[in-house]
Amino acid sequence: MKKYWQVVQSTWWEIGTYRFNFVMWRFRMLLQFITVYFLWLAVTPSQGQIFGYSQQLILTYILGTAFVGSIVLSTRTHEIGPNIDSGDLSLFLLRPLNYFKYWFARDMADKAVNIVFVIGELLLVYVIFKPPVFFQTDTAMLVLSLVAICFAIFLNFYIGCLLGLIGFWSPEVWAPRFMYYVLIPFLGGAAFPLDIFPQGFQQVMAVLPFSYMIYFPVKIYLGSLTADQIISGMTVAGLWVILLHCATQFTWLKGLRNYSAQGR
Amino acid sequence: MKKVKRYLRVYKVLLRLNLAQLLAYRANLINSCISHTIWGMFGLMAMFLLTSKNASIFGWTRNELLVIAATYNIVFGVFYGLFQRSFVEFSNTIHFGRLDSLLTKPIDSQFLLTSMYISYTHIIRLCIGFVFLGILLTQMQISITFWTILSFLLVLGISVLFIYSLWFLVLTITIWFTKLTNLVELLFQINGVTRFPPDVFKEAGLVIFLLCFPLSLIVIVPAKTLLQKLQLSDVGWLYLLAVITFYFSRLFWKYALRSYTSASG
Repeated sequence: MKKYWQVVQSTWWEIGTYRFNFVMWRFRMLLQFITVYFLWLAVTPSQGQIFGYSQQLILTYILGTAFVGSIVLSTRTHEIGPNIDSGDLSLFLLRPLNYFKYWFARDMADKAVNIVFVIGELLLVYVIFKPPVFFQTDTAMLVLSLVAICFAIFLNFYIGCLLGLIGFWSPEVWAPRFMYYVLIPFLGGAAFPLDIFPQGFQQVMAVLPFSYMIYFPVKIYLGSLTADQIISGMTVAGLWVILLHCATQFTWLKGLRNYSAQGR
Repeated sequence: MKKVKRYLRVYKVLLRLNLAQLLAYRANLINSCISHTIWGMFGLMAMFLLTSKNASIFGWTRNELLVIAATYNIVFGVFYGLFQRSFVEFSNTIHFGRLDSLLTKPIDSQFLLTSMYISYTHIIRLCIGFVFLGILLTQMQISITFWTILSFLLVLGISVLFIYSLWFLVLTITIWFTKLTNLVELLFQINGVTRFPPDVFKEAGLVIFLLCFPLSLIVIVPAKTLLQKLQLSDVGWLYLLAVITFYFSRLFWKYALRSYTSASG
């Protein structure tokens, strides 16, 4: 565990090295919150509902997805593909380090920074603009939404790893990853709550892992799901974590047989 | 005239090289086409959903907002197609000292740096934008004349010049802060603000509203041209902003080059 803690610390040092870049990154996140928030504020009636959501609920949903998304979707796994392609993977294979635990440690370091700053940014938005947000007071819902976020973190991590492991077979790993980044705001519920779409679409999304990344944890927080829906959602998310874990291990072993350290 | 011909010849070679690179990785090409199709449709679909419960928002009808969304695809289809990849590579070109080879060439460095890479697949976004514009304008029974098209193309050119100058002005900072990868991401975010009328940000406070207002002209003015709601002041403001930003971006680049210290060797 000590070596992975070292990896977390070195990731933090790395983030802190280019300070202006870091400030730009946070400013960008803040601009994202503000843009999305004011857009929804403009389209949502102060009395009445939109898509079955009151103004308070929809604005809480939007800020909630911004919060969850910045934690779940922040990742370092985009470095796996270039790492394999350049042959730098060879260095990792020689070290007494589990490759995936290494990248998970880097992910956690990234997420820790994101959590600290996104809370600050949301507080700033709240203090300045005073949005009519809903605060969940039910401890069970808060705990369950945290558990759902943990599942979401693992789901995104394993999908990120799988996309990176394409590097064993192709030097161009950016294209499928870009496609994933394009689709996830829509499929994950970051752009719109998934329950505004037709029933058939919702049923398909309920069996895919994407809705459990952002939409599911936020809906638990809002207290909008029944106990049955939470249990079935957690079960599906858990099964996807296990499935993606096995897929990642399988792809890793297959890829290693193909690996030729071409860049070195 | 000779100089213009030389630049056109160089640009023709760059177009050919970029096309060859695109066709070299066919899986990438297919993936890129699919991504841009989704990206182009997503913006329109998002506006469609957002306006499904409102007949108008801040004085803009639903169809007018959809025209803005389609125009966004066209404006940024052109900009991203011609310049995005070059701007994304901007900080790496400076950081790894590759700017040296561009500065030693007998051709303007700004031209070479910003025209090196072309993204052909953004043509898909352009096509999506034009198709939806055609459908919307037909539904709205707005007749498009030759002069409307000419005005639209002129205003489109000014909008692209404004965004180009803004990006170039901001990214020149990477001469001093070379690892500013988030600057490009920030500019993408700022581009996203332009897809909405400035009125959306009225409640955000005067400062934010005033910052968003010039940016909103980039898409609103071409959209207004098609909706035949264009006022001379709109074009005037856009033209003034584009020319001033271009002039200062060029001045700032020449100033920044004096501080450039190569990373090679």
